[in-house]
Amino acid sequence: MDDGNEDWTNLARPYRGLRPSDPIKSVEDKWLLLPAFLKVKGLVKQHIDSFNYFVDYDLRAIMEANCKVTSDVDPRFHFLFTDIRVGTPVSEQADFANQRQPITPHQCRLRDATYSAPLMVDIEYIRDNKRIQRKDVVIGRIPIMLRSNKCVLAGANESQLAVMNECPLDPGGYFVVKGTEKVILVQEQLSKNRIIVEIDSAKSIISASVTSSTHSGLKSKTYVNMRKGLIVLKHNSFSEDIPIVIALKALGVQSDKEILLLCAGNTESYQEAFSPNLEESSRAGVYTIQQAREWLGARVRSMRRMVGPRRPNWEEGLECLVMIVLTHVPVVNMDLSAKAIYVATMTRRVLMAHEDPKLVDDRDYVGNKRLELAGQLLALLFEDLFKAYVSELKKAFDKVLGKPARTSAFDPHTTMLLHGNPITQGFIRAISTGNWSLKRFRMERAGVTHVLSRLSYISALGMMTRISSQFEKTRKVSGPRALQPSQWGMLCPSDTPEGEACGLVKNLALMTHITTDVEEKPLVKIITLLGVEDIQLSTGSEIYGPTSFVVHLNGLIIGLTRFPSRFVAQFRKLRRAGRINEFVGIYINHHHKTVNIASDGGRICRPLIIVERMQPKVTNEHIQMLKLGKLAFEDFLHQGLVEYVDVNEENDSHIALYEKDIEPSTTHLEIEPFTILGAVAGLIPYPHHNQSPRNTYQCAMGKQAIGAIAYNQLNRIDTLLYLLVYPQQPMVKTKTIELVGYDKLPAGQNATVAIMSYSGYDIEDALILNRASIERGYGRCQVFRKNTAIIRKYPNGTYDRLVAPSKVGTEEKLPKRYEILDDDGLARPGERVDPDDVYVNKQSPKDTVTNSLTVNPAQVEYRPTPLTYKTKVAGYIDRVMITDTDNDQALVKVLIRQTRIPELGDKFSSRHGQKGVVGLIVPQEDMPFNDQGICPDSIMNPHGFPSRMTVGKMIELLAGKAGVLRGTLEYGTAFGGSKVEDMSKILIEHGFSYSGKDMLTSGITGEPLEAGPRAILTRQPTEGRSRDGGLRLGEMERDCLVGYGATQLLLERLMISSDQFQVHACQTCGLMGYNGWCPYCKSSKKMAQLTIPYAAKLLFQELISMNVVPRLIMDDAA
Amino acid sequence: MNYRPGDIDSRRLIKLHKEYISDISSTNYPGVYPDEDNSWDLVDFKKHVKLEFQYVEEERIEFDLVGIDTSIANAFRRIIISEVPTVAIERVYVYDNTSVIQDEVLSHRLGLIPLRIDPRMLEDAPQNYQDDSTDRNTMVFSLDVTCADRDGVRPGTTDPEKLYINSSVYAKDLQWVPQGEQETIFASDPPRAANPNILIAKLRPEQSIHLEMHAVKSIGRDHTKFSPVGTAFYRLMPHIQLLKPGDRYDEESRKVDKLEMADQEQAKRFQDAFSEGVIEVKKERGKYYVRVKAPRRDNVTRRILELREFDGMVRLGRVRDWFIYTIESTGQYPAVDIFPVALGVFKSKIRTLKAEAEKLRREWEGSREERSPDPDKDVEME
Repeated sequence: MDDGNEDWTNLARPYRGLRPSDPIKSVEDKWLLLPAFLKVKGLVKQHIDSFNYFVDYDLRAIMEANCKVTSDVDPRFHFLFTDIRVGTPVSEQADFANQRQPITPHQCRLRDATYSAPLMVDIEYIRDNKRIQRKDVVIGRIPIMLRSNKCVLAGANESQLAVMNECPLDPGGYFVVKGTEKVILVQEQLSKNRIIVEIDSAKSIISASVTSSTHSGLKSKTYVNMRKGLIVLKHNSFSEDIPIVIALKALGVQSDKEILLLCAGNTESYQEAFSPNLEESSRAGVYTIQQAREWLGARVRSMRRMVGPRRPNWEEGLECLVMIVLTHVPVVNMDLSAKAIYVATMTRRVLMAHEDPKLVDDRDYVGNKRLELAGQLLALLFEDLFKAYVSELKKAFDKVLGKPARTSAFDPHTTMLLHGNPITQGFIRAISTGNWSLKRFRMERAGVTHVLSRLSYISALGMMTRISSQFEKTRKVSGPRALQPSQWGMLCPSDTPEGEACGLVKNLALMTHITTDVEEKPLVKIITLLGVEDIQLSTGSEIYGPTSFVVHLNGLIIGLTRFPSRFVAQFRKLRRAGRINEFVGIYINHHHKTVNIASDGGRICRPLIIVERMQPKVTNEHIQMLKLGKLAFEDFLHQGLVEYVDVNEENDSHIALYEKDIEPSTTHLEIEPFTILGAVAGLIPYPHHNQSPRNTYQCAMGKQAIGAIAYNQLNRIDTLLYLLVYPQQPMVKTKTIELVGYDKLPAGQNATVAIMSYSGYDIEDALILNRASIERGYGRCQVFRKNTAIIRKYPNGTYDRLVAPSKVGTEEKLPKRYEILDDDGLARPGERVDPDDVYVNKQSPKDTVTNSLTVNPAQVEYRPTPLTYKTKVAGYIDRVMITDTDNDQALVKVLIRQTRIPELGDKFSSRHGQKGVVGLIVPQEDMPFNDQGICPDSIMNPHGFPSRMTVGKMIELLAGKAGVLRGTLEYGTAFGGSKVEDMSKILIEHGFSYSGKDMLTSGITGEPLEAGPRAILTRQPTEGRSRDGGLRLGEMERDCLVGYGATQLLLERLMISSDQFQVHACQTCGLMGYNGWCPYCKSSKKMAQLTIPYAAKLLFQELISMNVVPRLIMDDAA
Repeated sequence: MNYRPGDIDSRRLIKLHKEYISDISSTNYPGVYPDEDNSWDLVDFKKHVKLEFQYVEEERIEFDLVGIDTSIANAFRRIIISEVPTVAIERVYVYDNTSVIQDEVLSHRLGLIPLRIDPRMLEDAPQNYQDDSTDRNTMVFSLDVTCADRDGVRPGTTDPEKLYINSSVYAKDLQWVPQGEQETIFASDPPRAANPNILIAKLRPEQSIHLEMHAVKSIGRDHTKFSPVGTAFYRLMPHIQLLKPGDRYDEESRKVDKLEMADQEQAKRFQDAFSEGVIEVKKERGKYYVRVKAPRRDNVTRRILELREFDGMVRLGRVRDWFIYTIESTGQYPAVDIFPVALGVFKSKIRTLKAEAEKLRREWEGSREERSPDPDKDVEME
């Protein structure tokens, strides 16, 4: 009884701050925040945001940094760019009225043109001693990202989009360059300006490194290395490693004591580890700042670009320290102390790692990564192009100015106009080839852009959320490929390719956002206002004092605070109040005793519901308002109900998954668990019941599914387009499917599937199809192939021509292969093209070189260069389009269509990474049918299940069947969805077995179908495929079930479904008898009937035959 | 037609167990049971074979077929699905099609429209349709629809049916074009789509479809569109045998007509383990009894076998030669007409088979006479 009381008191005591009597408050439908989020941020919003940022801010910043053009010839020459802007997308050529017509992306796709807008600058210069300003001078064209704020599609509603032939479900975020859709994939990089400490155990080096990167584009990497107790500073511009003390002295810290304090603080062990380095500098004879700079200057790698007298060593060394080493740390008025403190901090981190090897950083930690988006890459490209443009301009100006006698006053504007189109060409070349080769920034990257995959709607969408890593693909290391815990909620755990790029190519989760840069200056002000002391006023003993925390802003050391928690709380309060940009992150690092604030671009973040005093700030009332449309996602942000949290801050927070998990220390609540998956993995029904690799396979395979691609799919002329004739939205859908619009552009059909063995043509994942289903349209798809002909103009004035087919000789009829041609030499739409048929009857001049101005056009000789149909299977002319390209050549596109029906060998797949090929097509009358007369569209072999463990698929089958019977669409949303129990109930209500099983009748014999064969001796299912055998549930599988405690399943698999056998045993002697009679006791009095595996009965009999008596001792014989 | 469970010979039963089924094949032939003949006997067969309609609707019939072998019953089903001829559109000549539906897809859709044409009035499809198509073997239909704006539509209307004329093309828009003597022969029952409301395509202003279609007679094995049924199938009559509780669960268990239940709840649980109306609960002298009332209604989910409390009380089975047949017509024939046609096909098959068998026998007998002088001589290979 005592124990019982104990239990009661335990129950009444608050557990995790909650009493059992407390009601669990849950916020109903809080997942509705997700569509609200997607409405403002969208799945590809990061691309669009970054492009907008580039166009709106970066462009001007780059121009301002390079706005002046001077002349070496005329020092009084003045030329200035005063402003830059991007116009709206208009056609490249002006029409007859000298008007440039607005262009739409779809026009560009069809015309093989580039969807771009003019780039316009305002300039100011002096002509005839007068200051002249010109506005809107076009210096080139810039490709426009679809749906960005410069795009004509921005903000258009569905009917406006329809007029522009654009699909409302198309996410945008890509470019149309020379008619092809190009995506700039998100690039993953190690974050810049942050110290990373690593241990190279092979070389026993502890190194702290930092890659400096500033807006002026200079990048350099600085290391502080510790090897055998000696700490050195390493940088590319020094020919040898610089002992750390010399480096610090050169940076203006003369006193050894000060150096020791800055690096090691008052910690004795650190001081001890550091002290040998002090000796190192005296050994080199370096004691003063001046000596250190001399020493350093002698070791600067000369990369002299200018001729001139060599400067003294100390000056050389100083310049290098100011200009090249740690460029991101600002030097104001030659005050190097900030850099000194930075180097000292790096040194201290090395010492810390030396003392405790656990204090190293993880390169693969997502918080140490930054994502580079289209905007940043384009900014780099533009900077390079603009600088090149300016220097070319300068050369051109110098050339004109250098002429001794000029007839008229020099007008730089005219020179500009004559200057060609380097910026336009540069953009187009980079985006269409994907090669970002920017010598200026030592950048050489290939494969930055990819052609947008239009295999299916989801493949296009999946591409927009893809992240490619800069990591070497061929290296076989696991670290960067492994699933990182910090990936939670930010990157999809399932969606990654198999093979060499496994784990390197990732995908964004559903609710992620990628930050853009936020200005630092106001943040510094706020930090100071919140009571942070300036770091430069402190010495080492204060910086590393027991209570002081160092405040970093984007990796820069700003100051000290003694009340980190209070500081962080106040900072967050300001951010939640909207005084600080919502994308600024802050967190405390207790190991380093730092407070880190991040406002840089490229951080991954996601929204979370704020929890205060165990109460989620979002309440049911808020959700009601959201439902009514009175609140938008932004309002939730501005009212401080929801906030963005980046990876670092997420790892400093305590996030509850559900309301019931909220504890006193909880800071946030998840909006919806299934958002940890990405858009592609979100299509899988019940993924949380599947073995994880299956979900990964499905992510790769879902993109190949044929279906509807876009609302404008029949207006597109793509190289290759696959469409399903009768696509269907899935019976079992997920919330993600609805959110991404996959139910409106589905790829697939719902099928009645029987899971059984049939005919032997279903081995190795092959499946059986019903011929009647196929003939009624199941799996019917279409292939559209584009064929292009360019009607060229040649430099000699001749040109290609299209001619009507001519009759041969006196024949009345045209030769067969010319039959489908019209009088314009092009095939008529709707005609059937057979192999070898001509569908574009083009002729080219025999001579395209000789200048034929003298030749009579009528006398030009032509040779036939027709387009003939090469495919073996006939097709139909779907559409013929004639237009002209940007460079004024006529373009003919012929779309040829084939309709294909499923045949042997075609690949089919469920949504669980279970693909198979068609092994046999069976007439309907041979198909099995159930009591309702339903016969399957396809049959899948049950052997696909045991080893793959796709339980989610089984549940999907159940939910699908229940949905069909009830006439509803069921949900298989991850971590939720329709419950198996409910589905079973529906099945029972409609007179079916709760398990989804049906009794089938063979269509061939007409008899009910029986289970597979048994071995004669053991009465267990036979072994091996050749004998129609079952799949063995082996020891290890059994162990797994034992581990789960799934006793009923064990019993079913090992006995009931295998070799269940009824024996009669005698309770007196323990031997087996028969028919209630014990032949040993000669009695039927104490006989019991029991169920054992036949193999066990066999074993007993075998033992008896060897004179061993196994006796059955029965406990509770009935 | 109903039965008392005890009336059915257990040899006629397929046995249903919790996890599997057994005794699926008939044993009603010679040599199975010792000292029993069991050869097929016409008199006996005639005595036992029964056919009784359960219900007859235009598009669906259900009837019981008792006393025939599974293979025969299944043969009827297979013939109905794939060998009963119907008429369907086979060739489409497209003059104009500016709809969004491609020519071949449209043609496929047209082919699947069930046509109400008595196939007995047509000859088989011509081998060479270009030369041999006549009014005896081909039906011609035409479709000529153009969509246009409707006048006087109230602004703000979004319903396409109100906005446009011919926004949807239905099967009723198919026009029969009589050829030759067809006009008189088919005058009483003009060929048409079985269901006028099948949607063929959707149009928008200025789109039009203009086609000519040729329909021919063929069978479902050629293409499913010629199948006269959505499906034809049978299920076996469920058999629920109540057993005396406490008896061992085996062949010798005593059969009972009703089971006594502990209370009303248990009776309800028993009743709910079957489909609705299968089990009847009766209260007699303060005790609750369950009885099998209408086994036909059971869906045979075998739920009763999973309930521990009823262990050994029920034996489930299905009557092997009691077929509950359903035929669902797609509209070419009234459902009730299909089975007789199938029987006709079956008969002609038998005739062919019989003729072939007899021919074979004659040949065999003939060759035996030839060969008989010296059976040991080597046979020369041809």
